[in-house]
Amino acid sequence: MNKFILLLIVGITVVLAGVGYRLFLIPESSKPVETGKVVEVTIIAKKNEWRFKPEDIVINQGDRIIATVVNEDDYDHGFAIDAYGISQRMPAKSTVTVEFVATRPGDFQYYCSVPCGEGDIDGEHRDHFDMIGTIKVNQLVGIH
Amino acid sequence: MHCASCSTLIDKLVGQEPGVTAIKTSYGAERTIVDFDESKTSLAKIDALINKLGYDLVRPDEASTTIEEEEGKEVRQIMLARRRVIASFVLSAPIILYYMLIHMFNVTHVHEFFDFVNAAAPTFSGTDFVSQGAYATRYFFWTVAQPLKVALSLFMDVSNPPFRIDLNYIYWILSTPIQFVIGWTFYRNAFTAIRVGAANMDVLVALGTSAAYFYSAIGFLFFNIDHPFWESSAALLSFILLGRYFEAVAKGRASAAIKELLKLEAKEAHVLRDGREETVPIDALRVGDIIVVRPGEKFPVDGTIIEGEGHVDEKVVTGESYPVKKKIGDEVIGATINQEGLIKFRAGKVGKDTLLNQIVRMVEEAQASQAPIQNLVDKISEYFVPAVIVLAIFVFAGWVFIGALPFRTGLMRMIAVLVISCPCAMGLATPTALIVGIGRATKFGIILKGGDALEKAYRVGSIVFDKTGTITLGEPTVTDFLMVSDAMHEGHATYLAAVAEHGSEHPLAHAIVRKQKAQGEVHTPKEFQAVPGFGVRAVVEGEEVHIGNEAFMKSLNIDTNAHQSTLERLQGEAKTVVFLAVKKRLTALIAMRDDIKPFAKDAIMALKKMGKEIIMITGDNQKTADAIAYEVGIDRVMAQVLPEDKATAIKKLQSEGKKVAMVGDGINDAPALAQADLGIAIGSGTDVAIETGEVILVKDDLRDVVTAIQLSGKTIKKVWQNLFWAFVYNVVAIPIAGGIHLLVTQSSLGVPAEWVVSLRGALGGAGRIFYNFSQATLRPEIAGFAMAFSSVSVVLNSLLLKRYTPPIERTAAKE
Repeated sequence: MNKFILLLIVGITVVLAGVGYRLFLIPESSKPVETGKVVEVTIIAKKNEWRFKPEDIVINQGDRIIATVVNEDDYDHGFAIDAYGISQRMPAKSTVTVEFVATRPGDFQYYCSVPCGEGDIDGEHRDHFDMIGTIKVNQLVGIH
Repeated sequence: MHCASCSTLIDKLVGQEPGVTAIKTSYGAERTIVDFDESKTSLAKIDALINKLGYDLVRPDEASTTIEEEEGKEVRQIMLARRRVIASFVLSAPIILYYMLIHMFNVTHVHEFFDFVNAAAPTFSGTDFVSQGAYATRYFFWTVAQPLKVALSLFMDVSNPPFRIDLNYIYWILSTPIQFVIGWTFYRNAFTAIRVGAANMDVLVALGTSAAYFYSAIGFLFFNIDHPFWESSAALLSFILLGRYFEAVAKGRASAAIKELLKLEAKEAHVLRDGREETVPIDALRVGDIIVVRPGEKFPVDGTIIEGEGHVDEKVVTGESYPVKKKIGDEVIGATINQEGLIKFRAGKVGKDTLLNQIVRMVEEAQASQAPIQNLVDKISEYFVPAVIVLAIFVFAGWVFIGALPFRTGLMRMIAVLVISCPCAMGLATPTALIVGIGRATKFGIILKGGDALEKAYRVGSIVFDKTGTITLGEPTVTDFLMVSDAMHEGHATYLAAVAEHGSEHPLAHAIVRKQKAQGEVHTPKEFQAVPGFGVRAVVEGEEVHIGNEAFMKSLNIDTNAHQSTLERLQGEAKTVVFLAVKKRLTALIAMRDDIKPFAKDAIMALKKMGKEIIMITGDNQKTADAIAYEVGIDRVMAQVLPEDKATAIKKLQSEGKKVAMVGDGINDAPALAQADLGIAIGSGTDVAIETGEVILVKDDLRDVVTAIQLSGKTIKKVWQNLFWAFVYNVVAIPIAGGIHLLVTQSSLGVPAEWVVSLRGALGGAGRIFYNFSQATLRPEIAGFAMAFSSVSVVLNSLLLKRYTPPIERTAAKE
C-alpha cells in the first residue's frame, strides 16, 4: 500500500483517538477549565531595563487573561509563553494585547522572544535573557 | 538526480514492474542497471515509468560519449546548479545576514524600515566577544543605512517619514521566489515520491521548509507573531542547493577516470571513400570503412589490417609494454598507436562496440554499484520519513489532546519537529564522502570501482603481491655474462646467443637480444627450434647453438656440475641463469635479473607499518623468490605456485580467517584477483585487469596500494563521522523540538522537576542557562537555523578529504 495513505490513516486515527480521549476519557484533574472570570493585567517592557514589569503574576486556573503588553523601548521585543502557544511581536514603542485562558495549572514563563541587546541598569548588567517573568496559575480548589 | 533517495525511488518503482528481475541505481554516477525479461516488459515501458518520476532514461547507445559532449553535459549541469545557488543566495543573503548576526550577537531588533535607516551610529558597549560582535554588526547595518538615507532624503523627510514599512514585507518578498521558484524542484520531487508511495527526502525538505514559510507568512500577515523565521526556509533551501552544487562538482571529479579513458581515443580518421582520402570525425565511421593510419597516429577504431604492416604500441589497452608486430589479416585495436609503416585497415567495430568503449562502460557500471553503507542509509531514510511524520502527528495530538494545551501550542511544536527533521544531512553524509574519496583517489591514478571497493580496502589484513611485473619490472636484463670456455671471445658468444634467441618470444630471450642490440646487429638464425620449458636450439653461421636451463643441458649430456657454486651464488642474488652451449660445448653462463620496481620497498615498508601482513606469490623457484623477498622486506613467500594455483593459495589464506588483498598485473593473476577479497590490478589497464580488479592503479606504482588503503580508511571514517553528526543531531533535536524532554524536566506542566532545580543551584552561572533551556522547547526558528547548519557541516567535513595527500608522496616530494 502507498506509504502515505497508510500515514494518512495513522494520522486520522491518532487525531480521532485524541479527540475521543479529550472528550470522554481525560482525568478530571487534567481537564482544561474555563471559569469565565476575566483578569486584566498590564505588563510593561521597561525602557532600557531588559525587564518585564511585573515579573510575577498569580492567577487562578480557568481565568481568562487579557494582558496588555507595552514596549517602551525604541527597538523590538517579543512576548512568548511556550505552553499556551503565545508568541507575539512587540514593535518599537507599541502595545499589543494578548488573550488566553489559563486552562492548566502550573508555573509558566513568559519571556522576550526577540533578541534585544544588553545594557547596564543601576550598576547591574542585564540583557535579553533576563527578560523573563512567571505566571503562576493556581489550581482551582475543588477540582480533583 | 537530486538526492540519494531518488535512486531508491527509481529502484522501487521500476522493481515493482513485472518482468524486471533486478535494478540497481546509483545516485553518484546517475546510472541505473536494469535486468528485465523482454517478453514481459519493454524498455519503453521502463522509460515511461522513469519519466513519470521526473527523470529521463538515457540509453547507453544514445548516450554521447565523446569527451567534449560528456564534459559539456557535466559543465552545463554544474552551471545550472551554480546559477540556482547564486540566485538563491542573492535573495537570501540579506535575510540570513540580518537574522544570523542579530541572533549571534544579541543585537536589538529593528523591524521598521525608517527606524533602520535612522538608527544612530553605534557606540562601543564592552570588550567581550559578543559586545564587539554586536558593535561590528550595528556598525555594518549603519553603513548600509547611510546611502539609503541620502537617496531617500531627496524625496522625503526621512526623520519624519510619511509612511511606515515593516521590514518583514521585504523578507517576505525575498523569500517567496526561493520557496516556490528556485525550490520548485523539491516540491516536484516530493510530489512524484508521494504518488508512488516512496518516502523521499525531498518530501521532508518540502514539508519542513513549507511549514517554516507558511508559519512565517501567515503568522506575520494575520497573527502578529513575534518571530517570522524567513531565514530558516530561505537558508535551508539555499544551503541544500549549495550542498547539491558541491556534490555536482565532486561527481565531476569521480567521472574523471572515464574522461581519462576517453581521452585516449583518436579524434579523427582518414577514410578512403571513392578512392579519395577524407578526414572525418570518428563518430562518422561505419563498419567496413577503409581507414589509413600513418606512423605515429592512433588507430581510430577496432578492425583488421588489409594493407601494410608495422609495429603497434598497444600499451594503452592491453598493458603490453612491447610494440606488437602486425601484418595483413591481424586485428588492431582502437586508441593504440601505429609506430611505423603506413597501414590500411577495415573498420570492424565502431562507436560503442570498440574495446575502449567497452572498458569505459565497465568502469561506468562499476561506478553505478553502491557501497553497502549507502544502502543502509537509504533504508534508514526510507523509514525515517514516515517515522517523523507520525511523530509530528503524535506531538501535536499529545500536547493538544492529552496535555490539553491550546491548538497553537501543538501546532508550533509540530512545525518545529517538521523543520528540524529534514534528513538531508543524513542523505548527504555518505555520497559526499564517497564521491570526494573516489575523486581524490582518481587524482592519484587510483580507480576505485565503486563504493564497495572503497569500503573493503581498509579492512584488508593481508596483502599478497605477485612477483613478476608487480614487485619487479617484468623486464629482465642481462647482468652477468660469464665465459667458461676460451674457444671464443665474449663479443662473439653474445652475438651467437642473441641470434639464437632472436626467434624466441620468451622475456629472457628478449633480454639477451636487447644486450646484443646495444652493441651491434642481430640477424635471424638459419634454423630455429624452441623447446618450451627448457630452451632453444638454433644454427648460427653454421654453428649449432643451445641456450637453456640446467635440465636442458642435462638432456644434451652437457655437464654443468663444475659451475654449481656459481649457479647458486647467482640465484642467491635473485638472478635467473641460463647456459650457452656452442657445438654442444658449454661456453657461457648468462645471468639475468628482473629488477625491483622503484618504490616497491617503500610501499611494502609503509604497509608493514600499517600492520598488514605482506606475502609474495610467484611461479619462480624458492631461492630467487627468497632473494627478491629479502630485498624488499617481505617475510612470507609462496614460491613455485603455478598461475592456476594462485587462486587456491589465496583461498587458503582466506581460510586462515584473513581478509586478503591480491596485487597483480592482471593477466595470469586474474583468477587470484577475483578470489581475493580485494583485487588490486597494477598497470595501465589490461582489459582482464579492469574486469577483475576492483582497484586499478593506473600509474604502475606500488605506493598507490598504500594510498588506496589509507584513503579508503579515511573516507569510511568520514562517512561514519558524518552519519554520527547527522543522526545525533536529529536524535537530540527532534524530541526537544517536540517538547518531549519536558516530560522529564518538568514534574507537572510548567513546574520544573526537582532534579532540574537542584542542578541549577549546583551549576551556578551555567545552571541558569541549563534551566532556561530545560524548560523551553526548541523554537521553530532555532530549529531551522540548526538544521541548515548541520547540512553544511556534513558537506564541509566531507570536502576536508580533499586535503588528503598520501604521506608517502609527501615524503617523496620533500626529497
